[in-house]
Amino acid sequence: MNDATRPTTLWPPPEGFVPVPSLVEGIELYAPAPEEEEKETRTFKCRHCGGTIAYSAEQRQLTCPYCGGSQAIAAEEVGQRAAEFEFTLETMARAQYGWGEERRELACASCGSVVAVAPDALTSRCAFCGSNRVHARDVTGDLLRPTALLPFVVDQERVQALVADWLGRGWMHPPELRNVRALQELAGVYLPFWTFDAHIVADWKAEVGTERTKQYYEDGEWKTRTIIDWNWRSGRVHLPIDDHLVVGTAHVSRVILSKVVPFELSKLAEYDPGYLAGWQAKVYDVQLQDAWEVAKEEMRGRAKNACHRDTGSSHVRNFRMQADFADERWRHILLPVYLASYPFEGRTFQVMVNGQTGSVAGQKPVAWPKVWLVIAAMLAPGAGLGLLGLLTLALGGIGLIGLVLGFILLVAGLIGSILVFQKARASEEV
Amino acid sequence: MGTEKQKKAEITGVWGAPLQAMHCAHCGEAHLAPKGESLSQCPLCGQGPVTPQLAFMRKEPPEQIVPYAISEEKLAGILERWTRGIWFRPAELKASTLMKRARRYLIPLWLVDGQVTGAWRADVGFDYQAVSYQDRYREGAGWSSREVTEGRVRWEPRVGRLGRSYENAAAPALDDHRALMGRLGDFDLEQRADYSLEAVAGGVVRVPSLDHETAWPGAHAALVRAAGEECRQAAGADHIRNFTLEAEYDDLNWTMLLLPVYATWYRDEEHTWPVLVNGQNGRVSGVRRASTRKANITSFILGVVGVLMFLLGGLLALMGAVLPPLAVLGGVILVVGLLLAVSAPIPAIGVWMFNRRST
Repeated sequence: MNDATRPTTLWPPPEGFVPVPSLVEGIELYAPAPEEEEKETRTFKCRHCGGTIAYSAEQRQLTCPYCGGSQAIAAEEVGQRAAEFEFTLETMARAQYGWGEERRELACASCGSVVAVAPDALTSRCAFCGSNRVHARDVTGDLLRPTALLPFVVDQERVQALVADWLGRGWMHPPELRNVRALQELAGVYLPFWTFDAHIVADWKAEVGTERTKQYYEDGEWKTRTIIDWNWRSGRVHLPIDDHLVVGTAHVSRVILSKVVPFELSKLAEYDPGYLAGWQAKVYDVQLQDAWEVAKEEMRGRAKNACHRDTGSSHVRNFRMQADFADERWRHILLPVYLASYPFEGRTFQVMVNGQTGSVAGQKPVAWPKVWLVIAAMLAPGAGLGLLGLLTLALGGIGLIGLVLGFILLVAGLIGSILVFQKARASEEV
Repeated sequence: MGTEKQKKAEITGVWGAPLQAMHCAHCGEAHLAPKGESLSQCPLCGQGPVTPQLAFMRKEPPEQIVPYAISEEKLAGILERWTRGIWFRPAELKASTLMKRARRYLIPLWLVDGQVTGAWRADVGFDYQAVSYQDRYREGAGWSSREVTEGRVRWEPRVGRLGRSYENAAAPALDDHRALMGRLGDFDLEQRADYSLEAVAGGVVRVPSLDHETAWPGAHAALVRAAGEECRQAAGADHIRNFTLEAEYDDLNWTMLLLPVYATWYRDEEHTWPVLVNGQNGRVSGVRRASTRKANITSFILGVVGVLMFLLGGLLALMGAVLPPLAVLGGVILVVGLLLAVSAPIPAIGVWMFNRRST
């Protein structure tokens, strides 16, 4: 017929399209091929010698400790382009189930033994043959599997050096710390994190005060006073939030973790089990919904601050606002840290190292006599001068200057002492 | 005997029905009207003159017709409601007058059957629900949060091949089909029945202005639409967009369908206004005019009365200097006259505005 044309540009289907069932006879249907879900546990063996290989932080690829062979990991660096998900009803329902029971046993393909792994461990080393088995995500096409991770960059050798250097720093710690070399249970662990994006549109309304000075005449002289004029005002703030990070486990010290962040999320790589070979990975125990509540609380706090800034005044009362969240998205990622502990004078202290940046934080014993000595030294000048001033005040008026100076020094010493004390206490905190 | 045969051939010359082609000199459209009847106005534009003239059209009669669902009794009620509420209604804008002039008016539509074979590509959309939040903060009361479930569409690409037969894809047979449908609303084509001579008896039929060749773009679009809808169903999707089809169209079969309309008209100040009513759902299309002549006369009378009363009131007020009670009466008449004079233009202006909105 007239302008009937033969199929040319629309056929064959583009690369990556596969046939899918059609509900109408006579119509063929092709859709993009779904991402392959790895149903099997992957074994990481060296192509050359058959030895168990692991991801090397130093070489940034899978390496064989026996023959030195290496294999690159196909996953590319995606940064903040890493896949994100919406809060669909389906996701919210699935989020309640976590990882599923069957993840708690791992059969070793090398020796056939069944290894019981910790319920929250994703990877394990077979206790019998030393084989590495990385448990690929498989259950029910799990949407909550990690979509990206930051590979380890800092290797264990460097961690030892960094921790030794960190232990040797600071005057308030025992000098013997410099000699601590043996870190116990040093393990590179991928910690679970949730990242959240949202675009908040916040409408605010409040009485905003504007300061003005007024001159008035009183008791025979002109004086000025500050008056605040209150006016109702309103405004709208757009606040885009990208990659708000919430830790997905309650089993690490938040205090220590807060000292080793931030991570450079622009280096995020697509999730590939190869990165986990030879490393531990922690399953999230803070569920998506709970993490989102935490993130939302922090986000709306940021929105509130943004609205307050938008008022343009420090005098605000009867403040009210409505925050509309839009484009809420989440992703589950793994971030690298080293967890270790070291013994000192019969006690065990925890250390955490950022596996990407090498930033170190942790518990450090405090040499309290040193601290008290320093505090005493900070308080002594003020106290001494004040006492001297008090004595000279009794003898004559000149002591007043000493008394005032002594008071000032005492206050300064007190502030310094509090800061030193707090820092010392924080060093031992978990 | 021979004369009788010749007469029959003349009478059944168009589609086997006693129809003759008429041509409107004003709008240029051709109609088939009962043979021997002279149309005073064009049913479409309400103007004229309408004269017999040859029309180029296919010889075969229409295959199908959508029957009238609106009876003449129902039509009277519809027109009665349509003519209500008009200020200074023209004398002819009455249901009874419109009913007297109403006649069946049939609009042609092509229906195309064909085999479509080709490749297609589209984005198909799947509905899903997502959770969002609206949080409120009030000083002293703190935060309150509300969960909002939003419906969203997830779009995914699909490609495929198609080999399907389609029947009765509707294609316009008139240049102004889209405009007419805009005025009359859609027809339910599922109600169609076989064509019969009785269906067009006494009615006026619009002559198709598009033949198969010129109607093909419309038919093609209808077939593509039908194919797109089936591809959506094949994908189990809720929506489809960016549908592209490269296909061959074979075994095309064209049939004609007539759509039922009533046509009537009324005259107001030398101008004829056509009124069309959808014969299936009763939707009326036409201009509801108010009579400017009536309104102007009313305004003129009000103005004259007002001025006269104003003058009379003024005179009585002056006489009040001699006879004080007259001053009060004069004042009242003067005020009433002034109000009448001031409000006199209201009918003329009101009708002008009404007609402006209606036209």
